Amino acid sequence: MESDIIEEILSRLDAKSLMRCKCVCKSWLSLITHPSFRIRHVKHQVPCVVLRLNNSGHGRLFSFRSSENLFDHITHRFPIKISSSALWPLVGSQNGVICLSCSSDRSVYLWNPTIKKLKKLPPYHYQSNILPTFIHGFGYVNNDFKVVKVVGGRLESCNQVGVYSLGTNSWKTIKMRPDHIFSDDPDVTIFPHHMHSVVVNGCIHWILNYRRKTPEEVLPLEHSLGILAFDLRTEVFKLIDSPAPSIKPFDVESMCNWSGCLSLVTIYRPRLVEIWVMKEHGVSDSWTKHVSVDFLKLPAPSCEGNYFRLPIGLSDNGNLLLSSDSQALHFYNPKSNRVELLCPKTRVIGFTTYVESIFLS
Amino acid sequence: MSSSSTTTTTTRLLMLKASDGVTFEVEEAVATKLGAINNMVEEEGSEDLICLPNVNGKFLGMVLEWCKKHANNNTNSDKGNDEVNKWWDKEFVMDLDQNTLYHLLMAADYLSGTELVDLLTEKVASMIRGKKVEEIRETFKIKSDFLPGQEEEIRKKNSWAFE
Repeated sequence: MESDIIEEILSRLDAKSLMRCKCVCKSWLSLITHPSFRIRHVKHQVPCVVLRLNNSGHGRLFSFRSSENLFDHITHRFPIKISSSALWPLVGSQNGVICLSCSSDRSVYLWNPTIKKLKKLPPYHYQSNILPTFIHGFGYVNNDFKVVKVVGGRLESCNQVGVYSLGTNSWKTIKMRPDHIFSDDPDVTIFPHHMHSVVVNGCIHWILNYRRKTPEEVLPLEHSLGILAFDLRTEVFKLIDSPAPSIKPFDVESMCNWSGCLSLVTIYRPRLVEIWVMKEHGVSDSWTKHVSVDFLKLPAPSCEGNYFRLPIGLSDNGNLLLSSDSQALHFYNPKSNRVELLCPKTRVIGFTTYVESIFLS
Repeated sequence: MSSSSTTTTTTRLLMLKASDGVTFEVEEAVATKLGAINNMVEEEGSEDLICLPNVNGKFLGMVLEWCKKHANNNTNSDKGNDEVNKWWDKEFVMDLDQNTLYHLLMAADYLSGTELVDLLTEKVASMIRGKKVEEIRETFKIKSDFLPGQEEEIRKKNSWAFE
């Protein structure tokens, strides 16, 4: 059989079967370990959502649910003990690899739960005379995984940006910093908002909360929502406009990669939820309001009272996961315009999209 | 209802000649489900007789049977079309013996029948999924060419996959 056909067959397998296939013969082994095969394999896998749970394990438990059937799920436990989930933020997920950072010892980990591989990154040496905070991002470009570390007291006073490459297993410091995008406007104050990053179109995105001082007012009043993007190819930061000036940073509940598009889920009290999708990456005019739904007007699932539900994130096929204050997990299906119960007792403290892979093997 | 829709448009008929000389008369809309045929037909002044020296009659016939089914189902604008195709595909691959599967896959690949290649490679993958290494080797008549100790080393690295 031609190797391209064998590659096509093997790329349809799950990671566990593939690990076994490495033992069949030399040619299969070399095919499976080839870098291009891993990407081909990812493209055949079913997209999943990952929910980080707070069930007594301090944020070590991650529930993986298939986008095709959210009821279909498995759980993986992060292999390292975590004292508190707040100290171990989820950085992001890309091609089956999840990135977590530890704020107490400043370490960063790459984890492929499917094939049970964990990699601790070497430390990044930074200069800082104040107690630094870090903002991390994680993505994949040119056959390599990259971790971005922004070091500083605050974003606008950040003093160093490091980029790690798994290929070379080393860090480098780059010249461009996120505050440079506001360099024409020295009166801007930037606050990082959601720490967790989202990759779309080769760029890492973070939600940004900034305000400008106007000459008339001494104290800046209005917060603006922006999206900070770091292009992994050019290693340049840029600002992406929010869908509408009326959206304020704290209206945003979630930022997701929804089927390859950057999307924002906003909530207005009491229960109006809107989903915005950027159809063409980086083009402000392409922001489109995809869904607008008032949860007060929806029939509640029969087993539930009229609890308040907060959006968590979007699955690949457009279902919106919701957590309610009764700690139940639901999802809203825009096609049927209904909310369904997924799990009665689950507290979700993190969300990302995921696809099974054999990276890091 | 379906017969009236086919008679209103005049469809071009193609003759496909297999390696063993067997010929098939097929509607253009059916044969062009195969990328290779589509490319030949799109060329200006293409002839109606197409020789396919790498496929024999038996497998060409099966490939065309699949094309015909999918071409017919796709002209039907029913919503349940996808479901019908899926059900039919399942039936199509269900009882294929390994030898037929192999030759059919080679034929589909040669003729650039992308969707059919997808279907057949998925079928082969389902024969590997969850199987032990020894079973896979036996099914596909593969001999291990590892040096002593090499295989054990790979197993040790991913012992969880062999549990």
